[in-house]
Amino acid sequence: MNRVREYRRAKKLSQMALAEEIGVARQTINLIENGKYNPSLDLCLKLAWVLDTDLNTLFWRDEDEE
Amino acid sequence: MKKVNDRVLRWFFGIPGVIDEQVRSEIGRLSIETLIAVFIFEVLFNIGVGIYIYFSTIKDFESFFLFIMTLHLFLMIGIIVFFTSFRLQRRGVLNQEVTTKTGKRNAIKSIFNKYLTKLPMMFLFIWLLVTSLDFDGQNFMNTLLSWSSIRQALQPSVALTIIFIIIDISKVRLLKDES
Repeated sequence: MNRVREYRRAKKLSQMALAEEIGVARQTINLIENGKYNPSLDLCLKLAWVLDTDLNTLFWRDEDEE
Repeated sequence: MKKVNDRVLRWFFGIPGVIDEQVRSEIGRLSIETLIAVFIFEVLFNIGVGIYIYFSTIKDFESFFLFIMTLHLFLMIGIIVFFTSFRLQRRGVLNQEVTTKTGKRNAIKSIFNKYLTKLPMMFLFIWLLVTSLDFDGQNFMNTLLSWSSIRQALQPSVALTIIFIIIDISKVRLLKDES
């Protein structure tokens, strides 16, 4: 799984607010948070930018997490 | 071009929200599945009709042709609705999401406005269609302006408008603010 939900909550953003910020549908954020959709690199970068973090922190999976 | 494509997708599938990469990929996947289903349906339907024509004696070919055409049309619409709209609806792509009660009221108001402005066009289309079907080669204007043609067009127009409004209102979802 990724850390999008964790970082979104830390930034006190709703799924809707985050979706509006990066110009996608709310369902897309929901699917990404639940690991049901693999976003494109462009979308990953936008997420990382809005959530003030980097791609590694948001999406890197440790071996024990898998 | 992308904007035109998005407009076409929005119009064809009735998507009220944002069309992003996830929605596009979902539509792409469902469209391929629909294409395969339509291909299989066409092959089986045509083989079926061919076998039926070969082994039976059709006296009224015109009626048979019209029946097959109508059946084909409804089955095609059924397949497309099942494979695209129905499944997009289940994935929540066709939902209109709002976060406040005022937003919901505004969304419902805009649905009413949308269909009430479409009603005259729909009425006109059905009116001309009904008149063309009733036209017996005499005076077109008399058939067009007859009370029966107007009534026959008005009833389905109003009924369809009400049905569309109810369907669209049922898709408006009030989200809890989870920030």
